[in-house]
This record gives sequence, C-alpha cells and structure tokens, in this order.
Amino acid sequence: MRRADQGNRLRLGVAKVFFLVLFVVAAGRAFQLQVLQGEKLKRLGERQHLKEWIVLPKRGAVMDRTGEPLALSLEAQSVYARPHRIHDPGSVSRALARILNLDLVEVKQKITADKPFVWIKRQISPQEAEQIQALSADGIGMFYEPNRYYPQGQLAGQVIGFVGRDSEGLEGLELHYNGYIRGETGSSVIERDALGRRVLVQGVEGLQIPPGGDIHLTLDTSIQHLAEKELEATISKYRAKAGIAIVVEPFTGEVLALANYPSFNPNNFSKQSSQQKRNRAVADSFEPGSTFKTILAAAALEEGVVGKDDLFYCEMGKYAYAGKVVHDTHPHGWLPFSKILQVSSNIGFTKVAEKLKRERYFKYIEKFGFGQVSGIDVPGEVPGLLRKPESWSAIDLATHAFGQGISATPMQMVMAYATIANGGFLMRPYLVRRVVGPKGEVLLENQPHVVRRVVSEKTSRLLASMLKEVTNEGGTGMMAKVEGFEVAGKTGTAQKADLTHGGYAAAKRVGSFVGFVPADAPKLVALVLVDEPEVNVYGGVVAAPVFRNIARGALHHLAVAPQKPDLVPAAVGQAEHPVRRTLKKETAADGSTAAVPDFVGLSLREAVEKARAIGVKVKMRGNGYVVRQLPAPGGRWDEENILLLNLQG
Amino acid sequence: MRDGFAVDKWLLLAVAALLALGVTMVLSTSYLYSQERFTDGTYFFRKQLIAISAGLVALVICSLLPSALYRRLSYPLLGMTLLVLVLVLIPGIGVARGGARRWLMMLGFAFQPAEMAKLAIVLYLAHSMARKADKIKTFSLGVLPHLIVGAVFVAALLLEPDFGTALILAALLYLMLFVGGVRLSHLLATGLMALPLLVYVMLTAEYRLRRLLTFMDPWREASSSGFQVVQSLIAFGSGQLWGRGLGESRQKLFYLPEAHTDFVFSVVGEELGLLGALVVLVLFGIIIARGLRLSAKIEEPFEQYLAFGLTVLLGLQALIHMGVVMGLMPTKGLVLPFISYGGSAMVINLMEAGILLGLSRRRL
Repeated sequence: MRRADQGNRLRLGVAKVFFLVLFVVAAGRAFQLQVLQGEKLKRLGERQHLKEWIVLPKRGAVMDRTGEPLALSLEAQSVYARPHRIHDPGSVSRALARILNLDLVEVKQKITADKPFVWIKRQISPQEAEQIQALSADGIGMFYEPNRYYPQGQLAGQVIGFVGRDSEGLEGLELHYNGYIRGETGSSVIERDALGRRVLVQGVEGLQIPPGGDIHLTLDTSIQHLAEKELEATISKYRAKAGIAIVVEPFTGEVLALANYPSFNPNNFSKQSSQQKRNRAVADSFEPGSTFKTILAAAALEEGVVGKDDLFYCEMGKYAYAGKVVHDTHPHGWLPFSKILQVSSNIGFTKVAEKLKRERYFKYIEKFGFGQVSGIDVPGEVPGLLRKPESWSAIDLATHAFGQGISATPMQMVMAYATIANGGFLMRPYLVRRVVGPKGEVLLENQPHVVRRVVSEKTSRLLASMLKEVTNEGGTGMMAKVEGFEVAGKTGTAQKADLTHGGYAAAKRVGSFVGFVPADAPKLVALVLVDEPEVNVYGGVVAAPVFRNIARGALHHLAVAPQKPDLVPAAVGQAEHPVRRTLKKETAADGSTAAVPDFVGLSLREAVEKARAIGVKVKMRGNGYVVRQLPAPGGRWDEENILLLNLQG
Repeated sequence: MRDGFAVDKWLLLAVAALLALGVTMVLSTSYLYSQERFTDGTYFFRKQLIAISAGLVALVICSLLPSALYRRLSYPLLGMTLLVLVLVLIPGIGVARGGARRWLMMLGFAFQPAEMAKLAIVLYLAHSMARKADKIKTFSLGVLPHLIVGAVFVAALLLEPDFGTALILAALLYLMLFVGGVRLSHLLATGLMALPLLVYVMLTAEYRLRRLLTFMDPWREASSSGFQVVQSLIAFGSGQLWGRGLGESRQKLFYLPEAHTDFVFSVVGEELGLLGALVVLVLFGIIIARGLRLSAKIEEPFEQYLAFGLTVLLGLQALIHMGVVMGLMPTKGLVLPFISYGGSAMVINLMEAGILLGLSRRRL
C-alpha cells in the first residue's frame, strides 16, 4: 500500500511535468504567433478588413444654351432587406409586393433567404420610396443610387452619349467631359466585416462628395429638335438610309444643332445598335461631291488665277481630259466663273483646277481643314482621307475639283463653309460653352478659337456673293431659299464608293446641301446630308429643302429680322412656325392661353416629362416632389411660358 | 467555522479571475453576432450571466457537500449520464445544430449531455479506482472495467458526433489510470490496440480527415477547410504584444467563426495581446498546479483521484482549446472553461471547480 502510494506520487510528478511541458509549448507558440509573426499576420488581416469605400458623386447635368436639361442625375432609392432582422416575413413581403408591384412569392423567397443582405428592387420611384419609408419595417432599408436620365429622350442622343456603371461616361459628351461632369469619387479606407459591410467608424459617415459640374451646351434644343424633325421627314419621304444635319454659328464655331438619323435614345442605350449610337457627323467621312467645288473656287479666287467674270468654255457637256471624259449634267458653252459655280459645271471646275495647279490647290484643301480633325469636343472624330498631290494622277486633279477621290466628315465640310461665311477664318467647332461647378464657379469656358486664316475677307465676300446665285433662279440650290433671306450655299450629289466591288456603287448617292444665311451677314451655317435616298438622289432636291426649313425656323428662333420684308409671305408667321414647339396643343386656337396644369405632387422626373409634353420651360429648385408651382394650377402662363417648381425630398 | 470555509485561495482567485475575463470576452465577441441574429447585442451576454449565476450557486453547493456523497452518487450519475447520452442521439429528442446532435432541451435551456459525461466519468473512475486500489495492477479487474465504461462513453460521443469531448474523455481515462498505478504495459498495450480504432474513426469521417490535413497546412486551404484556422491565426497573431485593446477585435466581425465559443481565445489574443494570452495561460496554470498539489497532498484514494481527475479535466480542455486556436491541433470544437459562451459547460465547469475547492477546504 505504501509502495503503491509512493508510485502514485511519482506518477503524479510525471503528470505535473506533462502539463508543464504543454504549458511551455503553448506559451512558446503564443510568443511565436504574436511577436515573431504578429506583424505579418496583422497585415494579412488588414488585407481582408480594409477596403476602399467608393462614394459616387452626383453627376452634373447637361443643359442646352437656354438651360433646358438634356441629361439629369436623379438619385433613385434602392430597397434592400436584411432577412435575419425581419420579424414577420408574411406581412412584410405582402406589403413590399404591393408597393413595389413585385411577385409575392419571389419577394417572400428573398426576405426569408438565409442571407444577411438581399436587394429587393433597384432604382425605385420616389412615391414607392415614400411608401417603403412609411412602412418602416425592421430589416427593410433603402440606399441612394445615382441614376442617369435624359428628359429629352433621343434629342441629340449621339452627341450627348451615355453613362455606364460607376458613373463613367462611355460615349459622346458624357465621355469627353467625364472628368468635369462626373465629379471626384469620394473614397476613404474603411473597415468592413466579413459580409462586406462597412463597419461604422467615426468620420466616414460625414464624407461629403461634391457633385460634378453642370455642362452648358452651345446646342439649342429648339433648333436641334427642328433639325431632327426635318431630317427624319426628308429621310422617310425619299426613303433614305440615314442623314445628318449640322447648324453652326459661323463666327464662333458654336454648334447650334447636330442631328444624326437614325436617332438614338440614351435612356436605354444598351438596347440600341452601335450604328445608332454613332455620331456620324464627326465619326464618318463621305465623298463630298459638288459641295467641294467651293473650296477650289475659294482657292482660285484667293490666288487670283480666276476672276468672277472670267469666261470658260464648258465643252457642251463633254470634255476629254487626261484620257477620260468629264461630263456635265447639262451642256453649256461659254460661261463666266460665277455661272460655272451656279450650275455646278464639272468641266468648268476642271479647267479652273488646271489653272490653279495641284500643289496650290492642295495647300487650300489642307488650309480649309480637310485631312485633319476639326477639334470638336466630342470623341471619335476622324480626319477623313486626303491624298498627297505628289500621288495624284492627271485625272485626280479633275476629280478633286468636283469632290471625288477625297473624303471629309460633315463637320469638316460645314466648318469650311463657315470659313467663307465669317470672312475667311477657319474656326474650331465646339459643343460646350462652359462647365459650371457645384458652387457656381466656372470650371471651363470654351472661347471661339481661330484655327487659321484661310482666305481674305475680299475673297470670302466675293465667293459668298457667287454662292448666293446657287440658290437663285437658275441655280442648283433654289429649293434652299428661305423667304425673306438670301442664302449662300452649294448642292452636292456624290456617288458612294462600292465597298464590296470597288469603284462606285451604281445607284447609291449622298445628296447634300451646305450653306449659310443671311448670305451677307451670316447668322448660321448649316449642312444637310441625306445618305442613300431612293426616290430622288439630288442634293438640290433631297437636302436643300431641309436646309430651308431648318434655316427658316432657326432664323426666326434667333430673332433675325428678314432682310427683304416684302418677300416674306404673310402666312409664315408666329403660329405655325415649326421651331415654336412651345404650347402646341394647350394653346387654344383663338390665341388665349390655356390654364396652367397642376404639377404639385409629381416627382422631378414626372414634372420634367409633363412640362416637356406641353412644351413649357421649367425651372426647378430642390429635389424630390413638387410642393409649389408658379404660375399656380389653373392660372395663366406668363409671356415666356416658364414654370417655376419648388421641390422637396 | 472560519476554518471550515478556508478554501485554496489561489484556486478560487484563478477561477474568479477567469470568470471576470470570460464575461467580458463573451460580451465583446458575441455583441455584433447577436445583434445581427437577434437584433439584441446583449442576448448571449445575458444568457451567459444567468449560466454563471446558476454555476456559482452550484459551485458553493458542490464545495460544501461531503465527498462520501459524491462516492455514493458516482454510479447513479454514470447510469443517468449514459441514458441522456443515448437519448440525445434520438432525433426528435436530441437537438441538432450545425450537423451534430448534441443538445437536449430542458426547461427552455439547451443542455449538453457531453459536459455532464466528463464529470460523471471522473467521479466514476475516482470511485472505482479507489475501490479497486489493491487490484489495480490486474488487467481484468483493475483496467478492463474502466476501459469498457470509457469506451462506451467515447462511442456514444462519437455518434453525436463530438470528437473533441471523446478525445478529452480518452485522455482523461488514460491519465487517471496512469496515476492510479495501472501497469505501463497494460496502458501501452491497450493504447496500441485502440490506435487502429482511432485511425478508423479519423478516416471514416471525411471532415475529420480534412481537418487533419488542413491542420498540417492551413494556408493552402485558406479559403475553404483551412478557413477557421487561418482566421484564428490572423486574429491571435495580430494582437501582437499588447493587443488591439478590449473590444477592438476586427476578426470577430464575422471573419472568425464561433468567436464567442470555440475560438474565444483567439479574440483574447487579438484584443489583449501576448500579455492577455499569457495571463489566461498562467491562470489555468495556477488551477492545474494547485489541483495537482492538492491531489498529491490527499491521502484518501477517492479524494486524491477525484482532485486529480477534475484538475486534468479543466486543464486538458483549456490546453486543447488553446492548441486549436493557435493551430497546434486540428479543429475540435471545444470551449475554453470559464471563458467561452455556453451554459452547460459553464455550470458543469463551475461544479467541478466547486468540488475541487471543497476538497481543498478539508485539507487546509
């Protein structure tokens, strides 16, 4: 018994050593992990704890030159659920399904899922958000998410472009001015839990993100709308494939309208083809055809190789030159230079080009901006194709003279005409007047920029007077004539290159008209291009009337007084004017204005849409719903038809 | 009467200190989790306070009961425990959580028979070994009965499955038999015979094998099976020397699973650093040192074995928990006595401490 007892004590001693060893091992391991490897393990932890928290700023608005919004950022709410915190999934899911118009079974599935977080619905309307708020159910919450909205829909869609995820501009002005309009992403390093949620740490909550700048365009929505409408009309009338219209202020280079057809609505950009998204006015180049003759005329006049009244023999329509035969559509004999331009004689211009010589001709082609991008502030511009004179064959001089073997973007073309309109300066076109920051500070101001002087004022005056004849009796562009104004311009009907077989496609044409008005004191220069019309192909027929309608409306809109009031037909006045979109329907026929409709209670988006539908301009203050309006509902419009809306969230 | 209450002050102090640290850590580790699950951050904390109160009452009672009563209770308790261990395996009676059927619902409390099994086995072994003290060297009488009872309990626990408690029971059995004077040849031979069984158990359950392989190289499987261990090492290590500070753990933000139970020592290391970890280690060291010293002092075999068994039980649980947290052992799912959240474990551990204190009371 005693021996056994002693044996037990010995074994107890062994057990003591056993535990002692275990404790030493444990303490050693703790030292190893916390002191020797502590730094490394802590860094490994930080890799999963710390994350850059990105807060997207509110994207700036895009407005036309009058302040009409073309792109707005609405902060839409998105509803989420934390299923673990929902006490009564049955009634909560019924309420959610009712308010958000969702499938009850689906909602119930979501909020009973064994997940800490699920989205119920993204980007809901303010009314829905208010009802969710009123519901105040545990485990249901909302986040603000920015949402881009284009209140004018397809208007200038290709110019404005669109925005992708994370408020990044992907096309058009949204892309080009992304740096200004997006605002700076707010970020701070935050700690997050394993479910990816932000851990509330002091200081992060108060992160204030200044919104992006607002862009004020040179575009005028009224002229833009008119251009798009007229373009669409002619395209459907002549069954054309596509069309482009550009209106530019010739002395500054401000673009007043830039229309592409088929149109593109950036509100659902993902559902439309890449062809529709394309801003072909700058991204595609065309053979200009006869509108290019003006460039040669300017060069020849500037260099003094021809005078306005110099006579050329037009070979009665057929001229053998450099082994080929140059044709005119109508046979002519002796014609003065001005007449050659008026009737657009290929033979006459071939002879002018012969006198000018190819090097000097080419120098002017380049000076007018061909072969280089115009520098307009939208992405995707191409320089067009220009061949060096050294590589021209003898016939190339003739074909260049009437606009073949060269390609130019519509934007280059309209700026070349602007050069003649403004007295000889090639201007850089631009679409954005200025960018205004959130505090009203001007972040960027685009000023008119002279690229170079191309021709003298004398030459441009002379050429303008010659171009006037094109729209007068006997000219190819008679249909471009605007009542009460003299129009200087030129028609063009170009063949299209056959991309599959080479050479020119038999039936495909591009009809165009470029000109400016009033001819002697130009207020605007415009180009209309109709791509592959079927019913009639001539620029003087398919494009010139579009120019006329756009110019007429735009001149009226810009309040340019007719030069020859006696020529204004009495009927063409205020009421029917196409540019006057304002108060179309609600203006009663007898001239008295209709009652002001009720806007109170509408969301920002709805208010903008409603105002647009009845054609009044809106000025808004605040965010959320309309709480007050001026004029009051049922009242009378003031003269400018401006509706003031006060909104509250 | 003053002498009658004079328990081992070191032992009492160590248990009290661990309890104080424990409730703090439970609040710290469970707050966000219970906020997330029950929208009530103190839900686990309050439940733990109730368990500690009940446990302290049990501790006082256990320290006052005479050891003869424990001797008399040892067989009935063994039988009862075996009954509940079987009951818990029956679906509908036993409650399964996370794939293991370990809980019985009693009076609205979830109760783990496995915790009771540890105490029952210690009482049984102490009683039986003391009774057969002179026959302990014989295999059939001194070794085999204990091995059979032990094997039945281990088997029942493996069926839950609760590999961690089974391991503790097996280790406890061998340590007690060793100190009780069983021949080393008997221990070695039966140990070797149990080895194939152990290998079989390891290899049949796929998750155990995976845990074992993961244990060898946790970083290779950091995103899947090694996740718990890696997260635990990150937590423990990033405490460095002084810790992030109480309540400042990052890993408890749902990176570290079971932060308030199986991995509470990990958060102790993260929030209180090497200093805090060593304090916990030393406090358990005190319990073991005092327990073993007490056991050596006692002449009466039953009380001696009882003191030894209880000490080993508390010490092994603590060491295995810490070993798992520090990546020294494969993941087991064992709580840290007096610290981790868990009602059954808390009450039973405090009862064990109470019995130990009671034994010390009569020796000082």
